[in-house]
Amino acid sequence: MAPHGTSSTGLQATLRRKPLSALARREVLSGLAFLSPWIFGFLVFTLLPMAASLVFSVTNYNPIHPEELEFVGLANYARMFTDPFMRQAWGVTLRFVLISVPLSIAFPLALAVLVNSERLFAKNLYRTLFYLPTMIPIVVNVIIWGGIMNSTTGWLNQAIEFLFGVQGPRWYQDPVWVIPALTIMGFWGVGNTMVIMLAGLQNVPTELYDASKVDGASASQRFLQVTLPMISPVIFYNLMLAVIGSFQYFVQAYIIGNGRGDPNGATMFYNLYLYRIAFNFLDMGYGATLAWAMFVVVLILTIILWKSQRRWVYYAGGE
Amino acid sequence: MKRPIVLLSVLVIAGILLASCAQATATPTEAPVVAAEPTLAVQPTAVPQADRVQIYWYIGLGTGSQAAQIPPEKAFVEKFNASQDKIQLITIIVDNKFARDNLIAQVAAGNAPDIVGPMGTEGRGWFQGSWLNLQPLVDQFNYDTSDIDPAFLEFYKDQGELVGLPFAIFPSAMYYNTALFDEAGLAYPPHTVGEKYTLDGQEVEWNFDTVAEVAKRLTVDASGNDATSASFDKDNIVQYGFDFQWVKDSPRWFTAYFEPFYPVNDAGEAVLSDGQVAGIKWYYDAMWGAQPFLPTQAAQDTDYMGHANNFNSGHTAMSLTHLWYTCCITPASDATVTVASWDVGVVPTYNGTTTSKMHGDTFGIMEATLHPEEAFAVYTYMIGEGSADLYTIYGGLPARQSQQAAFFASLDEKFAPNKVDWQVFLDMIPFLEVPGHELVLPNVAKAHDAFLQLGSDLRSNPDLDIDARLAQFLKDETAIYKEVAP
Repeated sequence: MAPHGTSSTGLQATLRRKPLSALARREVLSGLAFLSPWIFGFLVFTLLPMAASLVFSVTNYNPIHPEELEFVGLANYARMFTDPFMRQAWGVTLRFVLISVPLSIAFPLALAVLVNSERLFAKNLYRTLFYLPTMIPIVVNVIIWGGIMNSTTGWLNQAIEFLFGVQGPRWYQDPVWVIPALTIMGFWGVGNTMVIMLAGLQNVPTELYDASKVDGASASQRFLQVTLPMISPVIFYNLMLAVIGSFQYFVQAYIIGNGRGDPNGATMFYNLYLYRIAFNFLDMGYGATLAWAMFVVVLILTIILWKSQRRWVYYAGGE
Repeated sequence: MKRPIVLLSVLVIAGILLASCAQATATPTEAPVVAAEPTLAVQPTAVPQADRVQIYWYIGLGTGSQAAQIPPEKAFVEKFNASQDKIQLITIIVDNKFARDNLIAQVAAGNAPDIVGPMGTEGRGWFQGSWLNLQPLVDQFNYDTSDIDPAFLEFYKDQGELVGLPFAIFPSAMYYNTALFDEAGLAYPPHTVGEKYTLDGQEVEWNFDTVAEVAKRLTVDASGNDATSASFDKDNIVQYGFDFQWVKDSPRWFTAYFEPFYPVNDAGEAVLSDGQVAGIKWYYDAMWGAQPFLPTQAAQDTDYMGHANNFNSGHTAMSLTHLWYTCCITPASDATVTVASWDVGVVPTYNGTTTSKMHGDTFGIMEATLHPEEAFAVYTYMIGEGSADLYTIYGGLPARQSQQAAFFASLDEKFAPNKVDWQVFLDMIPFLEVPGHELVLPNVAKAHDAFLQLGSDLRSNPDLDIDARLAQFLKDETAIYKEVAP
């Protein structure tokens, strides 16, 4: 966006140094005009609510009784460390992250490898089929899977009984099985990740495979030594999104757990707990505190991931 | 290499197709189930007109969000709007399951609707302090309340303020599917309080033990064995004997049929009465015992059971619930009818006492309304001139006695040629619960939530240690009460 000859120190510095030509000014104004909806939206719908929630976090704000507003200092932050339900919510969320994140990378990668295979018949059909569920709204997805995983009439349990002669789990009613059930349900939405992985796979230069074949590398060696390093930036990108998305998991848990973490708190994800505190119990101050705690945790994880990429992500053109 | 990939591809496609067809394959080949699919959330259903004042009517906190109720509600609104040149009535319909959370969010965001309802005492209690005192409007418009029993007016007062005017009452009764009783060769439930039930040629008291015994004989597996048979397969039930139709989410609700009790003692601690504990155990055993006769959560979350509209699915023989349930039984004249012949009997006794749990529903105007006078105009139409339409939609017995005969006549017309003994509901009124099961609890949102959580565990967990779970519940509930203790 910057005019010709400007450095990365920014537009303002350039403007101070020398007057812009009429054309450059017009371009800057046009650019700002086109950006203004985003800037306005960011300021009003993101930055302002964030700032407001930071203020709420040091108050006892109840939106139905704003007249009772009081400054409570860091009391809400201290409360987090003695709140047993928050610990439970973190436990549920971390368990889900640990189970779902690796699978949400491995599964779409496997699918991408499959639909990238030269030997696969009707590749485009599979690509379309795997991507299709992504188009289905989450709520519909959850309802459909509710039928599939119904412990008495769902075809999944009927198939388990038919194949193995044992009764399948009570997917949505058993605290042990509900997280795996949500993870399996998530497989339906991997089409987007699969497409990105596929693009990464198709960008791997074929010369590398040819050279490795000449060197006698097996198929698995080619995958581990050539494919994975070459698509590691794509994996890194998807990993980042998967981690952030898993920590923000909400809608599916809200619907399956009736908005209260059924069965027995097993779907009380952190965001659901936050929502309940803020909007069910109208403890908006503490709810805002929980939101900021989540922000800090995800920020730290993101920084760690970002730093770690130097060890395992390969950028062909350097940084 | 090529063959395994082709095989894998075929399996994957088959999986996707099966997943797509899951709803269909999950449903046994029974007649289609009608009507009772709840709507998740329906946003305002009309475009605001610039030349009119908009009054938003929020439906779902009590009855009103079932799919079968929405078309007549819209017809009601259209009729009202056609009669108006100043007010535009707009509905916001939200599934009852999510309505409380949704309304809280709307109020918190400053988008409170004008009118909410119908709703019970509990629904109003969640929003205590948010309702408009109607007395000044009653006085301003000289609204005639002379034919309303003063006791009813008192019933709708909250901390001295009149937050509602009487609309409808909903006594309870035992709905039963006569065809299923005939098929099992069992006598119908009694229609008068105190009347004995004839079982195996002997007259026995119509109490919850009798209900359990009859329900077991009406519960049938896929091979046609009833629950009392040694060959009964409890994992393959195709017909249930009994259900607390839509009154079981909170154990506080269904235990009111056993023993009405306010679960807070003088010290502000949570307590359950012996009758409530017995009711909870009876209910749990009905689902998870050796001879189950009541659908579990998983069993009712199916097309086959009408997605929890169990009685109307045609696969439940008896359901204890309120008069409002007439909303959601498909009339015999409808091609999709699943329960062609049904009737109602009296509520069973517990320890020799009959208790008919009652709902007293009405509408409320939110204090945040910007148009109180227009909202009151709509309100008085709802409980006055337009009430006959709403009574039919909501199955509410008019609070004014003069309107009751017309109300039952409209139900007769709706369910013809099936005949129902409506007198049973009237006979239940003297046996209303005291104290009410909807009396507001301390820290009501959290306290109610803990009851719902307990109910969910009961419906979902076959390995529950009931005594330990109840002890934990009382401990949690007491802590919730203490959060707001003075």
